[in-house]
Amino acid sequence: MKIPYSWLCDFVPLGTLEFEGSSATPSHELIQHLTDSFNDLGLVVEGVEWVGNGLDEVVVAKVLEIHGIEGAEKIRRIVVDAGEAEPLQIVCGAFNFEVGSKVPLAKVGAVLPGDFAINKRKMRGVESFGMLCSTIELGLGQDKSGLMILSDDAKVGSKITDALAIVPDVVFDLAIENNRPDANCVVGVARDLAAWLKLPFVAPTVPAFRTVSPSESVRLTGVEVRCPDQCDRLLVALFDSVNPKPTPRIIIDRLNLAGMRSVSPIVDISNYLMLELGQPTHPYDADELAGGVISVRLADRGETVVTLDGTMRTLGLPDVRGRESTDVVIVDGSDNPVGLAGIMGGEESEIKESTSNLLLELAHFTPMTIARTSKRLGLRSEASARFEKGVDPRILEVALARFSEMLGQLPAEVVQVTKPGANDTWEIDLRVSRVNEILGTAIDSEKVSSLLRPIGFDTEDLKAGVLKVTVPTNRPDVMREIDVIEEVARHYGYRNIDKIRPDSKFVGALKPLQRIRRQLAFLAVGMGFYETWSATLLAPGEQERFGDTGAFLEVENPLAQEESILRRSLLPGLVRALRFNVNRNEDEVRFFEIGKVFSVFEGEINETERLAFLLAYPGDAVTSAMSVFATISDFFSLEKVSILNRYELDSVKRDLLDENALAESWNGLHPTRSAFLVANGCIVAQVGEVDRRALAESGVHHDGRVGYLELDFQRVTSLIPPPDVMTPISQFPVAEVDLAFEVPDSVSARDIEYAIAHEASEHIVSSKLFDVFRGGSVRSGYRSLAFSVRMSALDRTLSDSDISGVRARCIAMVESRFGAKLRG
Amino acid sequence: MPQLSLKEIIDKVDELKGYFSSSLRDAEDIDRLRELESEVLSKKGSIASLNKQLGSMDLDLRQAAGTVINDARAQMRADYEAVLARHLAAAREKELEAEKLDLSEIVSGSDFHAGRFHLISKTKSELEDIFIGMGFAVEEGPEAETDWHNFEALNIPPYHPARAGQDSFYLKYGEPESMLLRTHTSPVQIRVMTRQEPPIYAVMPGRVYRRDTADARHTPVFHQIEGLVVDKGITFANLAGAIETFTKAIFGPNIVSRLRPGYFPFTEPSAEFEVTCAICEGAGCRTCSNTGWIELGGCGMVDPNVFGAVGIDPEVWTGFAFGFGIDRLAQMRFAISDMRIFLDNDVRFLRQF
Ligand SMILES: [Zn+2]
Repeated sequence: MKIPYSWLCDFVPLGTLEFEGSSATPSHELIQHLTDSFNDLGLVVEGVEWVGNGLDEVVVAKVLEIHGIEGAEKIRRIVVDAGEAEPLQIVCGAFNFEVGSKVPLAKVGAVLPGDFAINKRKMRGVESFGMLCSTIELGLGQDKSGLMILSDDAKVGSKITDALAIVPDVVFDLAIENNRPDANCVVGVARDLAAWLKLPFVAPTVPAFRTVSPSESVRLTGVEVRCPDQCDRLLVALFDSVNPKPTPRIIIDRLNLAGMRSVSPIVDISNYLMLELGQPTHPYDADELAGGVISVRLADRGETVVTLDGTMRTLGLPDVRGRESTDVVIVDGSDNPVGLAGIMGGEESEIKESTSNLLLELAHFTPMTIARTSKRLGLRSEASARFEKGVDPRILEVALARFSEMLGQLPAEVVQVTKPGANDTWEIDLRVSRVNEILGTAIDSEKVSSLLRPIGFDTEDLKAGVLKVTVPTNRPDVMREIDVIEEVARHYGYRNIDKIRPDSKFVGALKPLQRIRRQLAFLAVGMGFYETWSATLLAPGEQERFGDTGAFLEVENPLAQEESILRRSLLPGLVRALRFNVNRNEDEVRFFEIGKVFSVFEGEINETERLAFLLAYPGDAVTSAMSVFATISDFFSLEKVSILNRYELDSVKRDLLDENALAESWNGLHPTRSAFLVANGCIVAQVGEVDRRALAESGVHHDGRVGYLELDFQRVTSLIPPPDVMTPISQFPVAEVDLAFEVPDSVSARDIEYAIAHEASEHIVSSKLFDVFRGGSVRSGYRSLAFSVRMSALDRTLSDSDISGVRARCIAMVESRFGAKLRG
Repeated sequence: MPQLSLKEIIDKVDELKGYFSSSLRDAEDIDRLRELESEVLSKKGSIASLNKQLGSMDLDLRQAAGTVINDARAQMRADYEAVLARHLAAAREKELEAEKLDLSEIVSGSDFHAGRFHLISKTKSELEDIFIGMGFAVEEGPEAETDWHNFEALNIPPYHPARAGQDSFYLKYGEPESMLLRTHTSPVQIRVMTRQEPPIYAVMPGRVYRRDTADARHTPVFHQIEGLVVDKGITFANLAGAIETFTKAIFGPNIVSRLRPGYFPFTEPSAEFEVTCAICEGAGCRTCSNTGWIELGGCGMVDPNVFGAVGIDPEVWTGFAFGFGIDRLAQMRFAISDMRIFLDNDVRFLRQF
């Protein structure tokens, strides 16, 4: 909210604060002090604008001559009459004027807004004795397209401030929080500020006038509130034969400074009062209203009204959650809608220049009803913004009085309808001990009262450490003891509260999973991978491109369709990252990412954490992807994981997987160059090549074979064996035996390696696949797998017969279990 | 075998010494030296065979001749060792010269590549460690969240004005607007308080989503860290103290923090917290719009309504919460002009941190 300093001064004597500087223009020190005060009050200053300042040396000048400058296209030599004995020569870069134009001249010595000092300058060898100015340079507007052109009757040589009747002012741009409905107006801000600065607050004066109920009235008997739960107060006033004077200059200036425009005398008053008091008022042309009255009721289902902005609004419909409408309309005497209550008036009964008889609506709507209608229609206005947050129900009379005062005319008749209790204040018991328990302060009840009273909270000491606090009606946000405590804290000053470090009862530590996650990340970085954070939201069809047709979650209201699908895998995001870099000639990348993926399974949202690696460089990165898994497996001593090549999915090995395992969110990799890593019936990870076709469809043009590994974080960690005591190490020599088998293609090499190491003999310490080949003497459908087997015993050197025994057991096991045959 | 006289022995020894010494001098390589050693000094060499000839001599004479031979042998052995050492040294030098390796020619990354943590996760870990040092646990929660956890339990009922400031991505799932991508990490507070009895000292980092068009200072996806303390006797002064402690830990001892009134539906009293601008140390600069202060995040005392939603008695327990943006912190510390770079994953950016 933008608030001019001068307007605040109407309600709090800021000029009496002792700061240097003239009273007409506040000093920088005073403004800084006020800025700090606003911030301390939680009325955050987002900007301070000095208006009409720095214009002392700016005068009206008339253009006498315009000359080009040799060798310069963007500047010209201008001769002006600035009301001095001799004409002045100015170099100017603007072109929007001609000989005879009157323009502002900042003379040498002027210091324009923004501390822009004007000196004598020389450009292209031409001397310039000042600067001709645009509105932005003078702080009088936003136009920088050319010079500010003054009217022909501006007096040459006169001060620009006189010529334009500018009153210097300072505008504070305050961010008002949602729990400060009282501060959505000048008076509310002034009250808070006065209390903080310990200055008197000068409340707006209220001339008295009589209000009656509609039944007691003469011409407004038809006024009705048929929905008191949505509109708990209504004042309707009639002003006959209005003849408003043009809006005074000071009102126009203040409206402008607050960011509104002058429209017409009546609308200006209405807007001015909304800014000053926070109360929206709505004027109608009484002659355009059937029956000359208005009433308030809930909108019928499907009812329409054309609002002031010319849009037809359909009302009375349930909201997105299916809740019944609470749209409220203002209707005329024939029950036809003439306005959308609290949000925007209707087109038909809008006041015009010709309006003679005026009907003024002043209402108090409950915040929720306005919030719901405003949200459903996507229609916000200055009025709805205020009603949504809460307006003071007691301000209606003040607003009407001020309206009458500014119009210079008393209302002919005023009726009011008030729901019982709508005007009441409320009381809250405040325990002073609780204040100190919450704030960590040591203040007494007297101090608490002295902080609350200046902002309108009445207090009565009930003794025994309890204050009965009466909350003013302009603070609908204060409903509980804790809300009062916040007000105490605010006016006590947050910065006056001590800083006492809390003493945790615990020893901080990462949880086991969090520690493993970090270890995995360190391992990944140690293997040379760069960590990425890719987008969670993908484009429709982006996952299908990778062969993933599983059920996904979709955003109901995306910003853009390209960001509307929740990722089921980290693959599409990593491919995006790859594309970004390949397009910038970085075709060698090793990425890893840890992040959440989302899928829907049997109607439930399944959010899991994944760890993915993507490797791309010239050549084949696929085997490296597999060895990343081997390294992880090695580092964490993972329990047995089976490898199920994707092309084997239909075979008997499918038994490795639980029924639903494939319904999970595993994006497809290359159909014949990828595998699932399986444990306990679940897919723990998948590894392989990112299908080139999918890459091409994703716009990635990479020559190499891109490797990929994606792990389910939880499942992988579940395979980390619990800590165990050390395995004894043999002090005796190790014997090494090489065994080559002819093995069917359908058998996993890793399974054999694992079986030899763990199941053939207690003497086997390790087995390692060291050679694979197909062809030659090996039958088709088979390949030769050669393993290096190391064995030893804890208590002796293995004898030759021991070794041949182990060897034989090993061969027998592999041959019988895997359908393999030892090669000669 | 004829009897040799002592003189003859001496002559033979001298002759042998002369031969050995000139041969040593002429030897061209280590092989020749070893040959010579074997020929003259070994057990089957000339000296040894000379010694054998003493067998028949008188004892006195034998002793004298033996001394002559032994002295000569010792002398020749010493000479041999010296020459051998010289040859070995020369050979070593030659070998070293031949093997010379200029390690400045080894380019980085040819065998091993150093990876990098993303700046955000690096910052996140750093923050976690600071809070762990303060005795906090690290807690986590889902990103696809219920409206109840994200809003209602946090004292933000439907149509609450605070919802407008946290425009949400709702999910097509269940009842309309019942599930969304969490707009802040605060729902994790609710999850922690519903599954754990106080006292609670926890921080909750994570990814959050707001329906804001991306610009230099906003991305629809970003990261926050949230803190929650619930214990007996926790006050606003403790909140101010906690903020002072961790901001100093993050930015250094010259940084001070300050609180000013703010508004969050789930805390009361609420505050915004600011720290001395780390760029100018409070003198005023572009980063801090010449105020000397940087707004970091929000905080406050846990609202009794929030305690009510999770079944904690606010008369027994009090608490505070705070939160701030991890991305924003990183942006500020590393003068990152445009936050959108966080999601590009440009290797030229990633490798800088
Ligand atoms: Zn700064």
